[in-house]
Amino acid sequence: MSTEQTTRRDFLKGAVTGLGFGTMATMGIFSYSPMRSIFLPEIERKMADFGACKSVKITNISETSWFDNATLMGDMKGAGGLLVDQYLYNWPPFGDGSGLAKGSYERGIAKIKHLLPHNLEEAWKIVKANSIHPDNAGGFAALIEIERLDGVKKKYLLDSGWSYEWMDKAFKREGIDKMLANNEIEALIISHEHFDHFWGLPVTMKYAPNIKIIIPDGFYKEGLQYIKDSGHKGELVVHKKGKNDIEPGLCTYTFDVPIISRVFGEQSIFANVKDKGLVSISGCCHQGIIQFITTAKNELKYDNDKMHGIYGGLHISPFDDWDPKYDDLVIALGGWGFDIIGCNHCTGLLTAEKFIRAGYPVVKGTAQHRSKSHAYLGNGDTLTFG
Amino acid sequence: MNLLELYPSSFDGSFEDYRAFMRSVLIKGSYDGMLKKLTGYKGMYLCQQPKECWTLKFDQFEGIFGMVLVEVNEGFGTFYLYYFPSPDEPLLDKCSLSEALVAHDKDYREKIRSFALYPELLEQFCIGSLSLHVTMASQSLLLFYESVLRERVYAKEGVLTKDKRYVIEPEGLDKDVPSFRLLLPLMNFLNTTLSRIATESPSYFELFKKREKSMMYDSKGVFTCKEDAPTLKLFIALGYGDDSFDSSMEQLLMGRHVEVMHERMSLNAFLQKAPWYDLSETPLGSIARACIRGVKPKMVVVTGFLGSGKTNFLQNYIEYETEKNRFVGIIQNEIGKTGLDGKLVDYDYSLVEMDEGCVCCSLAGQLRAGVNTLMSKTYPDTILLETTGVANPFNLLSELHELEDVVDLEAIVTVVDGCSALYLAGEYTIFLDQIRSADVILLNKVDRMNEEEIVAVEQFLYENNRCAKVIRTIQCDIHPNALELSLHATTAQIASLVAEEDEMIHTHLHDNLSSLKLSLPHVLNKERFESYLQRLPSSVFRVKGIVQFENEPTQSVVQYVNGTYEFVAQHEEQINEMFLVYIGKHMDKLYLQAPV
Repeated sequence: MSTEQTTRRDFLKGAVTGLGFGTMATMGIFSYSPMRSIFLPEIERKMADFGACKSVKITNISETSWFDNATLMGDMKGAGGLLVDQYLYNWPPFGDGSGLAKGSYERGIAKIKHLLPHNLEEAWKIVKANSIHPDNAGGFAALIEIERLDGVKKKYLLDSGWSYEWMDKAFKREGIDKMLANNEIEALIISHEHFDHFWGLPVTMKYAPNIKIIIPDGFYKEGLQYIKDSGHKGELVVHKKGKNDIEPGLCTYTFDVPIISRVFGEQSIFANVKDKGLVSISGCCHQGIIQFITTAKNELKYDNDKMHGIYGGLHISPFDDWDPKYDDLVIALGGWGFDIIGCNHCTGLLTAEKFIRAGYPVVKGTAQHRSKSHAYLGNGDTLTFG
Repeated sequence: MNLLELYPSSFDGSFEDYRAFMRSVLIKGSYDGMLKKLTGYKGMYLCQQPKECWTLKFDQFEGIFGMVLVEVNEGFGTFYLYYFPSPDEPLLDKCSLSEALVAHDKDYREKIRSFALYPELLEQFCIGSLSLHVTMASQSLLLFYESVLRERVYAKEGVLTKDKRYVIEPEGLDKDVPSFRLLLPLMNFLNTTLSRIATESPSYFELFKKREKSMMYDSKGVFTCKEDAPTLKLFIALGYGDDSFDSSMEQLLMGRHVEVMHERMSLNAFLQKAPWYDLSETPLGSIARACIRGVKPKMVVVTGFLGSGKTNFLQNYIEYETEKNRFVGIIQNEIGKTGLDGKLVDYDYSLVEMDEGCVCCSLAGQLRAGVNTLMSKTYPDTILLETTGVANPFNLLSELHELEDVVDLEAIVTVVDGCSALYLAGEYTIFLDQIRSADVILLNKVDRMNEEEIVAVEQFLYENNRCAKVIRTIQCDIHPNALELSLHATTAQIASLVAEEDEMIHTHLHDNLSSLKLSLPHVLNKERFESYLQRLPSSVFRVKGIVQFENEPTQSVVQYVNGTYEFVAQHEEQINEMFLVYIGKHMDKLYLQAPV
């Protein structure tokens, strides 16, 4: 090492750190930037008021999106990886018999369109004969019951699952079929275009073809066509990026995030429970829990300025952090002080168990109807906030 | 080009649109496993509040790269690009004193994550800029990078220490950063991401250069230009789509007095070999199968003595990777006839069990068959090869080398039970071999040791393996990325050369270790079983198994290591054959009574 380098290192070692430019100038050190000086506006907390409700009850109709992860990942990797368009997989219900990664929406739907939405048993038979791993399909769907401040209750369906066969059974198990048929459910909110949340749409259409459907902005043309082909006759609402009101105390927030297998945009649900605080409900939370919660904090006004509860798949972030210590859900969730945490299997069993070990208020499940552990809320389990 | 693949939402060219567009490209890029191999991408952080800025990491660079959108002007969104060196890397000697002072701040690494908040970071460390022009009408993209070959700043009167020694001599160099070279990984990543998502190569590519002057400051902070030979400014323009880009380029180059660099120049040739330019080497998603064949899974060999915590390591590894949509395949075997660990990992994953004795002793070809089975089913991103607790990894190395056409051998990770390490070292040579062969050593169970004991074991590990990175863990809970395998994987290669020279002996036979499996058709009394375990002879080192205790709703997994034991209740649905596997010395000569 040259003497100059040694002097330089000694100098740096001896210098007080955390100095501003001003102090450096007094030492005769200046900084040059060839770039124009930068002014970046700070994002301020908007704290938009969206009212309040008395309570929110969530019924987990099905959280088993698929039954075997190895099979699912094998298909995805075999088709070419996480960027490949989901409509090409040849997964149910769009199988055309040509094999993995050779499918298309048009050829798949052509085989079953005439049977939608009323003859799903027959449609599923055709699907099974033409699709890759049809029995691995499950689906995600949840019922959200909101109690208004005046005591009136309103129901919303979040997502419609994947397999016609599995979802029809799950709907019947929780009485969703009857609620739909009796027009008790205000709207079907689709969180995002993914196969396990959206492709079971005909099951909802079978019972309530006139229901209002709310989707986030970013659906591809195949998805929009599928809504029509499933037999939907009601209103279709597209939620643009940002906050979208549903009713007092209930709103959704659309995130413009790209998701694996060529899906774009996910909307999550927020409820403000009077005197308790904010309840955050997500399907998969592909945008990541950090973005999910910080957005809520910055955009919404809620009682006590308190994060009361959270339910759903708690993915920390869609990508690896360059600093692995921040890729830790236990730490990421710790600072927010939730009163109630409801996970589903997306969260990961070990992670759910780590939450429990860390003393977090995790609500245990009953591990029935093919859900695998008590550490998270499984199929048929309910959770009430407020 | 189909811009909907990149960003299917509405785009009006606003500041927020440009930011959302690029954010979307970055996230989508992170889903592409191939991109990691092509560009060395190692993760990112998107800071969104209160000032949005993004940071990324690449292989081979200790520092962190940064990106921030600063303005949208006449249809161009301009991002400033940064490199924040690590406080320990030699490059810091080339940064300005002012930057070096900032890098020595104890909060520096933390501040990088939201660097747009701190003027001392935002206004320094810049290595170039990117102007992006998105045209929805013609579905085209233009990228225009600017950087200097070397950024040089001189101090006219020099800089003195308090005791009047020169840190920088008068007219000496304060800053001499190779900005363009630092920009390459980030540029390579952005361009490759665009090419791969859109599945097309750029339709327009041009390089320009311009002489640039260096800067010099005086004691009052006044900057003047200084003539300096090697300073050259470079402009790289890259277009996607059918546009001719003529008018945009005219607008960009106006008044800049640039000169086109000819195709035969080496830099030009170098850039044209980049993965974003020539896609033929790296087929894209549309040719799915070919693409898969191009990506070899990485293989991590997991060793560790009996009961050290290998299964915990596997469980954590799988869960962290699954969370990021990456898939782990596992090849494991047990010295006993029952592949018990397959049942210990309660997770859906792909497992190949090799029951024919120890992996390292089994015949050549076995391992390849295992890898092929996994590959035909699931194309894992990573294959974890769990060796038995008594395996000598040196025996494996030559066979691992023969697998290089199907896997990339990443590293050998050895899990060490800190509590029993010093005892085992005196008893089993194989334990020492496991340590010596490691690239990364996980010093596990540190929660059961005091600091003094931990330091003593660390010293012992260092004495036996000076190259390996040693990480303290509790229950082997460590993020796969925290292993930093790619930075520490040299010993696997070195050790394999050693292995090829020596004829390796299958050491675990020499240690007289063997195993015995006992079926348990009956229900056990917990207290009596505990006293049974307490009375086991010391030559029995390890007991594992599944049992059913009286009056308990679920089966339990028994884990016994060297006198200590635990029972872990199984999940209700898991009903397995009940058995115990004993592993120890001279088991064949030992009379073992079954528990009642």
